[in-house]
Amino acid sequence: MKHAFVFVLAVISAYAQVPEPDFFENKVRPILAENCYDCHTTAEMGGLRVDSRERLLQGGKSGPAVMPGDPDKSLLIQAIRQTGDLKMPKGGKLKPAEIQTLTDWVKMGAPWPEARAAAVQSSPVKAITPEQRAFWSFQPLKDPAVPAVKEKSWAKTNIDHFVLAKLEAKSLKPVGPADRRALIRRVTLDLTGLPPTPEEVDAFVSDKSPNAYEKVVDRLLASPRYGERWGRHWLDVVRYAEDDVRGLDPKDRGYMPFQGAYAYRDWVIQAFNNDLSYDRFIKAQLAGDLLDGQFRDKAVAGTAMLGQGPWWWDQAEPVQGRADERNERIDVVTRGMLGLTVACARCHDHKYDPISQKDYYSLAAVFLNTTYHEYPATSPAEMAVWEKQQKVIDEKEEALDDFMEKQSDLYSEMLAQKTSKYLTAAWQVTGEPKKTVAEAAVDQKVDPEMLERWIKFLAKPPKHYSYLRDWQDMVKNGGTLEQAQFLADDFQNLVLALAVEAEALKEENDIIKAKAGVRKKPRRDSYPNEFETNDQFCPGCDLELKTMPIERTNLYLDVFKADQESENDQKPDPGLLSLQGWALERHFSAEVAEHVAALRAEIDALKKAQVPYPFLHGVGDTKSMQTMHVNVRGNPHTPGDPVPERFLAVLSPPDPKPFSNGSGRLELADAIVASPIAARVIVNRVWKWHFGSGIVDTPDNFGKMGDPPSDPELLDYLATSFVKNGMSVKKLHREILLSSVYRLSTESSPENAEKDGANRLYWRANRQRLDAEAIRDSLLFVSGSLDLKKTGGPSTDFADDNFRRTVYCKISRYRLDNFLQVFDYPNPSFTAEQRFTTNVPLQRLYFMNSTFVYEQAETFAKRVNDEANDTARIQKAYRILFGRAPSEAEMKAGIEFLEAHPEAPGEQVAGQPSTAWKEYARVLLSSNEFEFVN
Amino acid sequence: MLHLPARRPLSRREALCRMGSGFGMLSFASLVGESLAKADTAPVQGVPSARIPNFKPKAKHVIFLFMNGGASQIDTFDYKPMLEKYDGQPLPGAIPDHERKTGNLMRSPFTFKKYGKSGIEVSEVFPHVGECVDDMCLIRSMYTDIPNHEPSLLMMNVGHIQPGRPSMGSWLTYGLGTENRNLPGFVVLCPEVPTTVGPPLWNSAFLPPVYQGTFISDNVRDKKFDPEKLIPNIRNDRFDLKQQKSELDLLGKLDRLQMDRERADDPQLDATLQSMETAYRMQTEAPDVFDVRKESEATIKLYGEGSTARGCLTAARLIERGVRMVQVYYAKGDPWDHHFDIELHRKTGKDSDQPFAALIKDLKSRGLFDETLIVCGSEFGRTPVVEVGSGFMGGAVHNGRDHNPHGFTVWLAGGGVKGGMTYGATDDFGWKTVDKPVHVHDLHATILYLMGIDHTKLTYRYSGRDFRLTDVAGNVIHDIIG
Repeated sequence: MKHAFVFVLAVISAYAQVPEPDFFENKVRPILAENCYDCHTTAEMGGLRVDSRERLLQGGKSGPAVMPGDPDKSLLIQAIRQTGDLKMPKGGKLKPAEIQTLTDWVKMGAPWPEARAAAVQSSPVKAITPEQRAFWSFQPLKDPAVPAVKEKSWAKTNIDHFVLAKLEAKSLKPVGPADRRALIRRVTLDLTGLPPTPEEVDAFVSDKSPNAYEKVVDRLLASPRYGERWGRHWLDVVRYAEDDVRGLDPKDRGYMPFQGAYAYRDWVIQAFNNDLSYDRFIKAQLAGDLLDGQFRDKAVAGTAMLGQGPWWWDQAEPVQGRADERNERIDVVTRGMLGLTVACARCHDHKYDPISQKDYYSLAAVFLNTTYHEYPATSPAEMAVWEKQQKVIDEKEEALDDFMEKQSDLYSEMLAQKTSKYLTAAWQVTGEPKKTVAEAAVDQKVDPEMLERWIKFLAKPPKHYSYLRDWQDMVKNGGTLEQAQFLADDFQNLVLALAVEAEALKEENDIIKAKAGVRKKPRRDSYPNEFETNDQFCPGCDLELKTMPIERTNLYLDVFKADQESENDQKPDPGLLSLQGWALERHFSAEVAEHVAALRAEIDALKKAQVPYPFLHGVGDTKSMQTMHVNVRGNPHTPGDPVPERFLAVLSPPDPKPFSNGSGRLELADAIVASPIAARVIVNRVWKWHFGSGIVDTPDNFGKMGDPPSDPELLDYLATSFVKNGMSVKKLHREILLSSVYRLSTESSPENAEKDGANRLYWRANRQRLDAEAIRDSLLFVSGSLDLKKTGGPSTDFADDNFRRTVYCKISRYRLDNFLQVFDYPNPSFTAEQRFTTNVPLQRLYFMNSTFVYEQAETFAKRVNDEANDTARIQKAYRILFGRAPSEAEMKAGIEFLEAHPEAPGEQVAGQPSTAWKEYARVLLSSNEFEFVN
Repeated sequence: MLHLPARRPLSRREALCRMGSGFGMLSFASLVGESLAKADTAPVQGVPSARIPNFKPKAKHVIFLFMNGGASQIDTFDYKPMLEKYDGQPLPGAIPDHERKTGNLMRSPFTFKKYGKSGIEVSEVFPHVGECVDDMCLIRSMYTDIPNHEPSLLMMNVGHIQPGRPSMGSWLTYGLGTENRNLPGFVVLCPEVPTTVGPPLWNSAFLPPVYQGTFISDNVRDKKFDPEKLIPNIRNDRFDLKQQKSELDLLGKLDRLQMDRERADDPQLDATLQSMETAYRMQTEAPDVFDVRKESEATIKLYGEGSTARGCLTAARLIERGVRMVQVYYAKGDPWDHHFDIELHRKTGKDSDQPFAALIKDLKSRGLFDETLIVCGSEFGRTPVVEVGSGFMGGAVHNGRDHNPHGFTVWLAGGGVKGGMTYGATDDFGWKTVDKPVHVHDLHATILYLMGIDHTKLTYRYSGRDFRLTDVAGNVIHDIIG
């Protein structure tokens, strides 16, 4: 035996030395790929992989798949010949020529030309050229000297020197500063998403101290409203949403909610308010679970950035679906934090930037070993309460379901026992006696409504079985009562026999399912990481269950379960004797009805009383680490070379060290925050959120195809300063906001416009439209309705009487709220680098006709109604809305409008604003001055 | 209208940045404020790189009739006599893994009949459509990638198997703009929400949101059909148009005062004003177009009853008023998905047959047939073999078919497509495409071509690369173009 083994090895190595690469690549691999890879690569069905020789020899649960040189003894060949118990591929058979090819190949010793295969499969990594490495965004941060400028009095800060130097070089002159009213409105909306109050405006306008503006900036940065605004900006980057699209949702909603998603949103808001340093902020989101003790507890909520990302659940074939999820994570992390479009290197090396396919899969490796994980979001006590409450709810719901099912079964059993009576009664209606349904029902002591169902059922043309043919012939031929009763008894026996047989089969099938580990009832909620194999995708689909002969099955289903001719294919109508809903409940005794009602009330009350969802939807490392392979041409079914977890080569020193700790997420996070490009990306984002345009105007593409920086020195100055300041975002804000360039007015200058129409060099401020959140929040704020007490916690719907800030409203990937859609909210499935500003009639319709705007206008009108007269009211309105007094022309227009629309006699309610005032208020709320920031 | 100070020319970059990237927006900007009547397609102004249309369009509008769930080609438009002969026998060759087990070949329960001069066979599921066969081109060699609804619905609508790409209608309106800015350029009709997958099927994804399909849920069960409920905020419950007009006049006055005071030369400000006027007119136009009751009795009769009939008639009315693309879904969920009993095609067919045929006839009588491309199909077809192992007890009615991405039929009509022809073929059993295969990308390329667009040139730069509807694939099928 030992000799034989040695001999085989010798043969193998002989073949291995002289492989037949063409034969293998052209003939053998395609057959394996086409027929076997679906189940026998990463899915490892039966423990078998067929994408390497090694694994074929090792085999699966049934033993080695290939005995090189001996096709007859090779399980693989036995399976494809389908001579024994093992028949492959599932559901079909290979063509004879294909069977022959594989047989020949095994006979040859199953040669597998490894070296050649690798060369064919993965493109060689091109070395990064010095020119590529020299690209501006990959460079270490420079600390550029602050340039000298001519107009020294204008340039208050370092930022101003950089901006002005560029302007002067192009002979541009900055326009004048914004007036104080415009400035406080701008900076307040910018930092908090809300307009200033008239008192705040007045205080600032009359504050003669030299640091008046600085005080305003500091006040706003310290306001809790700041995090609600700037946290929201970040939520765009991380494509925050509270659900996923899921067509196969077991509850038929079409989506899967993340019940505790809000915890991440609140964490982000808090992080901004607390000025959590950007490096810690990023680390928490990528690897909060891997941080040390005291940091970990606070940071783990951040991992929901990955945990609440789009999962494809059972939306796709598992191998593909998981690969797409990894791709999504790579995309959001690299575009969001590095300004690089690494996802472009999924199928081939990046076309423009020095990012190889191996780079891509080295990051994919990190996410291959990262999985969805839920963490407690609150005290163990509260969690225990929630779980206990949930358990009770589940139990009660199950009890209700079971009770209803039992009632339904009992009832159908009882009805089945009366089959004969119903048939006889039906004969009395449709046959000779021609009685009415009511008469026949009384005669046979049966329920008239049920009798109607029977009559319809008995008249159906037989399609799926022949059991009714005799009955129908008898009726057609004018059968006698005796004949009818004979057939009726016969049918009753059949129906009862079916019921008994079905029950026995169900018991048998339950045993089959139990043996295969398939639940009797599908689970109602699954986790996204539970769809890794075909079997999880469709549990029990491969089981051979026992059934009755087809005609008996069909009759059984028609009578007891579901109407086989139901026009509703999604959820067929219930079977003849299977009563559900009101049809069943109307037969309940008072006691039973009371029991059901009480159960329902109890469940409702329990749900209402339940504490908020106490878990975080985060991520964790997988239990065992897997090796990632390059996916040849991006196809996860064609694995190529193995790759280690590591960072992008172009951002690493030569010969980068692979990550060595678990999935490598923490090392990835460290590498990201340490890279100069990450600092450039975040300061540029902050700049763009302030000014409306970025120094690099493609904030998520700092590659070759992105926008080149309008002022590279300024960008590097900001990034360097940011790093020096411990990556404090608030310090960055302060530096930007105190500059002269931020305080410019929006006025135009024909000379400047000629040279720099797009204002890329910042010679004036950009007029910006409020985004969706700021529009809704401002409407609520000026009317006085905004509820600033109810912050955080479970999200609420966009309802007319929801007065919370918009950041606390529900964000759905499945169906985005209409208001958000209309006002250019970005697609929450993808990282968003900016908000578009469109101008569509649907936005105007919102201001013209939505009840929300009207109600806020009404509330606003009430707010100014106490003033003595219309003039005073208009003055107050302008102060609240625009922080200024109306002009003469504006006052005149307002007065004229109000006078032209007097209240109809008897309509005016004392102490309430007139209809015209409500209309007037709405006009003011619809105005450009309200919707745009100067 | 107030005279505004002369402006500096808007740089392209700024224009794109300000108004939402895309040249469609520029044509929109030039159209805002046009008269209520149908305006001509606006030329693309001041955008040197835009050469859309790339060539003379054959069609100006698309109506996509979607039999969601997967209509069976072998029971409708792809007659297979061999299926009768080999009924009950195994399908030769291997069947790849499916969601569910399949059994032996199953003949179609429907009879086929030759129609028209072309003599193309159509089954009894579509007798009215059959009468129109000389106006139709049947592509019998369609194939797609994945036998699941969600990815295949996405592929057919957005050209990719996962959500997040712009839908075909978004690409078309992005490229061509619309002809009537009083109405959305891309309208999606379904009697109920949601279809499977839902909004990602008509999303504009990374294209500016203005190109998103406007979803109109026209619920047939709601007996009190109210066209004004279809578009959010289209109606004001409190004020009539006259009162509204006086409000808008005041608003215009105040906005202009602001522009004067600030000497603002900002097109954004001007645009909101004009947009407000469009919105004002849309209040009357939009409910009107959705109110199919305004059609003649003869027309209403032509279409018949039900939500598909209403959808098809609404589509004709929208197209007539210049809407670029209308999509009509049969119903929510996957209503054509007949795993248990293929006979149920009778019901879905009955609801669809008359309206589909009526649409062809009606567009002809309105003189719109030649400029409107009708596309009708599903996300995939169905297997010639019977499905087993499904149903309620692990084996119920053995009379249904499983999903089949390997071969199915899509038909086109109008819009420059040859009538009375078939293109490509599946094998003898209607299982796999064997002759002139047409991938969904190829269909998309052809639709764009008919609309005057080179599918490789309609691109949008996003995330560092140029995206297009057809990804890196797609071949125009020139043989079907008249």
